[in-house]
Amino acid sequence: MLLRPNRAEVFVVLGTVGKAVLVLGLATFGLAAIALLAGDVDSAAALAIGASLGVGAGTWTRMHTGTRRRLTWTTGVVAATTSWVACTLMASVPLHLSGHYASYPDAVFEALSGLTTTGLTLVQDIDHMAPAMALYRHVLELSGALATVVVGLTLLTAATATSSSLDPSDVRDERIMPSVRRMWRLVGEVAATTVGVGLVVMSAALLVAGVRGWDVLVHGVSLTISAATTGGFALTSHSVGFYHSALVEIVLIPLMLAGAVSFTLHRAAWRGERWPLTRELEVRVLLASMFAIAVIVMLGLGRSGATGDVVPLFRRGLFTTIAAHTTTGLHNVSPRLLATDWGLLAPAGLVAAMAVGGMTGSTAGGLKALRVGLIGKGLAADVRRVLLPEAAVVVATFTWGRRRKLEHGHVRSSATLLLILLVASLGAATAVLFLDSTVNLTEALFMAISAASNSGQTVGTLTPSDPVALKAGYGLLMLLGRLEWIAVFATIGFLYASLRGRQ
Amino acid sequence: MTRRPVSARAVGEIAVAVVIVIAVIVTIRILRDSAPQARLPHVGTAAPDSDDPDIVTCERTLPDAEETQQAIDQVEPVGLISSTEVLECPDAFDQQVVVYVGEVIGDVLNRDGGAWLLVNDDDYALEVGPLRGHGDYRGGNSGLAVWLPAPLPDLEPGRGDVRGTVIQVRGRIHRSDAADGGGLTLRALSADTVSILREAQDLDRPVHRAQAVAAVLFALLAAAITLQARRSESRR
Repeated sequence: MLLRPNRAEVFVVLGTVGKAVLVLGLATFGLAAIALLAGDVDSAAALAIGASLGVGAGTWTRMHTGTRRRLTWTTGVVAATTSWVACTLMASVPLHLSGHYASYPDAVFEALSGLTTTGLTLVQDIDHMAPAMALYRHVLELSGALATVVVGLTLLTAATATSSSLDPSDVRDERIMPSVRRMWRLVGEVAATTVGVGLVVMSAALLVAGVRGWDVLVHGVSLTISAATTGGFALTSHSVGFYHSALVEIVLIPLMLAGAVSFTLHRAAWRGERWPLTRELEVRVLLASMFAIAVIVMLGLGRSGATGDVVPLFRRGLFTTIAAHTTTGLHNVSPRLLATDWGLLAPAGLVAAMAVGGMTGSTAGGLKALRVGLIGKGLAADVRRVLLPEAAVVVATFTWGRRRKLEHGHVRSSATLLLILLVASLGAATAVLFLDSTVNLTEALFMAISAASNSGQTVGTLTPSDPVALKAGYGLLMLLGRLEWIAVFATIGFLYASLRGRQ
Repeated sequence: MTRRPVSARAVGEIAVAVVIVIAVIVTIRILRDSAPQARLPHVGTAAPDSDDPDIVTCERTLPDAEETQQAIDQVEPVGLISSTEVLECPDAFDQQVVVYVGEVIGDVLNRDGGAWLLVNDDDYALEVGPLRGHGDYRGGNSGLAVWLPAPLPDLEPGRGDVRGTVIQVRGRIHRSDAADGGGLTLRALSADTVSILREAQDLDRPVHRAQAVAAVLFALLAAAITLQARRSESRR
């Protein structure tokens, strides 16, 4: 029997949600001011309306839910899920008012895609979108990415990656608030440095590519945030392909990798600590997976004949693989060509890349390299157990920050998440086939995994004219994937307990 | 088990919150529907020449240098094509000489000997103009990467409230253009095979005054709530 949450627990959740909406509202006000300075009154007004709603609702909520109670694991995950939903509703208002979305649900989808750093889009005529409104989508990516890292490090990783089971009993009573505050500051400093350095280098690359004037700054901000947050939105319909520049793509690759690398490693580098990278299970798995999948994608491309010579094959294959593996979703070829010209092997490799994803405690989505590694280690230990004499004791270890003993719970929780991802993606692909008769099985699977892994890679089948149920399904997958499933399940349980729980 | 009665104040607050939410939704709906309209005229694109051969198959072939060269030598010009056709069937269009009409978008990326352009041929480019001016939704954008050799005509790219220069290009489709790192491109045959069909146009759309006024009112309301919150905090 679930216990009904008390008033203080509900208030601490609402207070956190209010703070999240307030902060996003303030950030939106900043962009509205920039739009006004640039003379774009309509975009400034649309952004100001959304910002006012955020600031007003956030402040009002905080004013009426004042409590000295601190977040616990349970109230923390519920607050995280609710904040994502509340921020999505707030952020969708300026997008809806921009006139680039045929309906309010489309604007909600776009806001959710940005805040979950997915990058799937339902925008119409983005090539004529006002720069301020286009950049707003990147503000959403940045906000979502920062929140993802903090929530991932303080709530989700502990519960779903390294605890002995999916039940986060070992951490749920811990008061997490002080660590969250410290984490926000540190994440902010590292993000500002990464984006700042990235912007300078990217601007130079864009100048070489032939971009001129204010566009250098606007496109530089867009590409840098999109890559470093593994978001994937772009200013033009041709994404990175618009620039026809190998240099721009070369600058983007380390930014995408930075987004997919665990914040723990960023923090170590930031503090000048020496980190035995090669011993880290996540690093090993990520590098091995990226290499293997890049080879598969390039073999597939070679077979399809889509890129001709070796250099083009390498350039298109490697960039797309890294974009998929880091779950960024930027593309240097038209997305439709993945379905019509790349054959079957290369897109299959990209599906595998998106499913594996990046590292825990990063902005990347997917199953995460650590969990893939844990499943692999568990499998290897089982094989050894079968081969060795019955009396032999098999002890497997792995390095994640420090050397740890592999327990059944590690493997079980990772395998459970893998199973959830696969079942959800297969279910979603079946729903796509049912709802959209123009899509084939390969395309449906590609899109389902893309949404569930927050990748945003697309084969050009997601359109604004798709049924609302299909868009809602993709949206749900994006939210579930971003919060690593467990947080959403916990929130549903919290809501159920609020209504039917025992007092 | 007894339930604590809900206070009249709580009911009142919830009712006010519901009314505010409904008012916000209605306001946003009205603002969207009352946006000023400005639709640009259709671009009179050249109709496809009925004598030009059409590509009717989408048969995939693996590259073969000798065969490809023969195919290039024997190729007959294809008429007006759309970017959607090419993207759905890139192999069938490889090395074909085609005519393509579209709006220049974003930036003209000047390089040695010419420039790269993104040229869209979707409905926003050729029929209804930029979406900001009207509520006629026609889906996403669609276009091709086009290489124009120098000397370039005077081009103004489309963006925001501007429909860019609409050009007609006679060129060759490259399924994998080595000069572009393997991208799908359309290379104009020469500078002479590029013509301007329509100069760039501004939408000249008036500012959405109602939205601007609403923004000011919403901002004032947010400021009032913030002040009230600060006052109650300082009282505590």
